[in-house]
Amino acid sequence: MNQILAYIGYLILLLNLILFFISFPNQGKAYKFFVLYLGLVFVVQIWAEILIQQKCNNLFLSHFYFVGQFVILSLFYEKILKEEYQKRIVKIGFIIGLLVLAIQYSTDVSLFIKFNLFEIFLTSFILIVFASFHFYNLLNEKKEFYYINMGILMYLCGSTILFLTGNLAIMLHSKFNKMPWILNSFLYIIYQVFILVEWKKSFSNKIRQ
Amino acid sequence: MKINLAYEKEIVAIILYTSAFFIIMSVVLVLFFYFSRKKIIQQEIEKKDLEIQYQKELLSAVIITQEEERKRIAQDLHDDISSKLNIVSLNSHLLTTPNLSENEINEITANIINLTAKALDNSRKIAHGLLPPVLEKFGLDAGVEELCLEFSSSKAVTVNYENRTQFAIADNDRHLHVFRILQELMNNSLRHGKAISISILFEEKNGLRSCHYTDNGIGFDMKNDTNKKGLGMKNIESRVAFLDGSITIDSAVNKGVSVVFNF
Repeated sequence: MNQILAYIGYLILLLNLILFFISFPNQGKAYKFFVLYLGLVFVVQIWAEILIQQKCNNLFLSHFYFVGQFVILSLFYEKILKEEYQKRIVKIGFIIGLLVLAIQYSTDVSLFIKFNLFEIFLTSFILIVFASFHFYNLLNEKKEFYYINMGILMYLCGSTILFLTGNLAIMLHSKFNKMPWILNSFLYIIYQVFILVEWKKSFSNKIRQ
Repeated sequence: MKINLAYEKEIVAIILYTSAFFIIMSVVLVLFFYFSRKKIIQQEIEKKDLEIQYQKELLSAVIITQEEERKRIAQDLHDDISSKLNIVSLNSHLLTTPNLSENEINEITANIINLTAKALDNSRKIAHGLLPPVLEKFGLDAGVEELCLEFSSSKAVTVNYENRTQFAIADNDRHLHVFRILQELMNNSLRHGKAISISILFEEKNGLRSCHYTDNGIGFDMKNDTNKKGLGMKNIESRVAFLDGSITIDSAVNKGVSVVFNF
């Protein structure tokens, strides 16, 4: 069950990556950052899948995923946010977030082989704040990355808890421990569908021109 | 083992519920955002609509009063000239008085001829400039043709006029605006543009009438705002807005002016 949902998620992700890549020329920097984000997520997912096939521990990839997501989406929001104070907050949040994580890792390297709860919490929380900024700006503006922003907000809110309990879930052995991951896969599909909708509404018509 | 299982079940339930809680929170947030946005946009649209409505009313009021004023002036002038003609008439009656010397008769006649000629000339010129009678009686086509003739007769400029559509007399109220726009444009071309050739073309495409106006004058810099703020240009724009049409003005220094508007 989990496998099927996960594969559906990957499939839509791949589709999004291709579609967004086709519309790549003549787009702003924010768009390019977003395509980069999709690319990163896709590479991480494939890598994780390969490691699973080889029965290796793939948890260290979660750090690439969270930190990569944090970095690229911060840059993405830095580009799409309009107000100067918001841009400044994004820059400060970005630098402080990375700095804090760097200090944490330099003091405790063992964090690398399991879910780093602080990292998950910090990166997701900051991104949720950025997403809220963007929503606030959209209140009386033209819809720009509207669905993507919705998807990011919903997926981060839902999945952060699931990842935070990740270390705990690994220790569970019963049949129930799959449940959170099924929910996560399901959320992931919804997230990707939102991105797909964004492409359809905002960028699909630009190909024909 | 059984206790352990129940315990794990509990933990998974907590995880799922917490996650569900946050998901629902985010959905509520998104819905809140969605409806707030809708409301705000709605209010903005209403505000803009009101503004547009107000501006339109203002514009039409201005244009209507302007037209009424022009008509009134035309009438006033006419009456004024009529009263002068009365004096001429009196002079004529003087001629019938018996025992006038040759000299007196000559003087009175010369007076009459002089006055009549002047009054006639003036009345025609003034009334014409204010509200061309041809336009009212024979429609836009004839009106514009006459306008072109007038400009051409000044020898300073040649005007090419072509009409590929029909104008209904019933629409004369609207056509008056078109006429005024052309009048303004031609005056501008002559006065500011120093044009020596002007061409006007009316055509109709898909039920939309458009007028193409071009001259070969000195033109102006489109980037320079002072050209757009002139009363003449503003007047043209209000008239086009009044006709629910659109206007595009294209010009560059020493490249003449090209104006296309529809109505």
